[in-house]
Amino acid sequence: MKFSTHTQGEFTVVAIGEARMDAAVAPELKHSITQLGATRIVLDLSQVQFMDSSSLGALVSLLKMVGNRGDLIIAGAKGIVADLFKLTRMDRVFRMAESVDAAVCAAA
Amino acid sequence: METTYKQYGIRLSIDSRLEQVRVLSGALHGIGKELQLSDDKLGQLELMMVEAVNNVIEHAYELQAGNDVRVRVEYSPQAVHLIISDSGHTMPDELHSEAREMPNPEDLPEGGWGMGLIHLLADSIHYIRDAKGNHLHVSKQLD
Repeated sequence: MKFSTHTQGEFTVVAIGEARMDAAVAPELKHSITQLGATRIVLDLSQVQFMDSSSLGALVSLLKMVGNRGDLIIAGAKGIVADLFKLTRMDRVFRMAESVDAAVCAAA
Repeated sequence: METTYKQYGIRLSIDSRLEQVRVLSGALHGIGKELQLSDDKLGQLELMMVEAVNNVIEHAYELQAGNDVRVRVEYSPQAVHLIISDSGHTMPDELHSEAREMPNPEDLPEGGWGMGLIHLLADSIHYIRDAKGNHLHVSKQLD
């Protein structure tokens, strides 16, 4: 799964470089982000056009991993990706931001 | 005068591997283009189909490759009907109970949303188990 990382403020920004996040890539997604060892993460989903509930489950697992010590902010979710968070009501659990900049600013 | 539209159908089949599911999405996108569906509507249809097919691979075939997952798409400008069929194990009862509830977000669930999402997104949903296997019929109105 393609993704890039950079640091912005106190956050590790993980930008997913795939249009699709599905059950085939969910375990790799979870493993790769866990391996970064970061605890303050902004996950940039602005390039993701489609996401299924298996990938959402992987993100919940990452949320548990960062726990109370850190942050996992979802940035740039749109279309059916944003709808998935709303339909499952997981938008109440994750911190959601319009963009990476908005996520970093809001948390500063 | 009432306009009569033709109805079209396409039959798709993939092997029971999660990495194959994207091929079905590609075909659905082709139908979406033909019907000039909005991104919203197409995204909803794709999510319904992918969740149903993931369920087949994970539950009916228990993640074993080498089995057939069949998706029949029948569509007109008014509605899209998806029939997802397999020859695997009977689906667990709770997966197709009428009162399908979403997991509680506060429990930080890592799964269990698939059928709940299909129920929320579909206009009608019908599950049949017969001698040939499991068949899930889901429909979505387009207008």
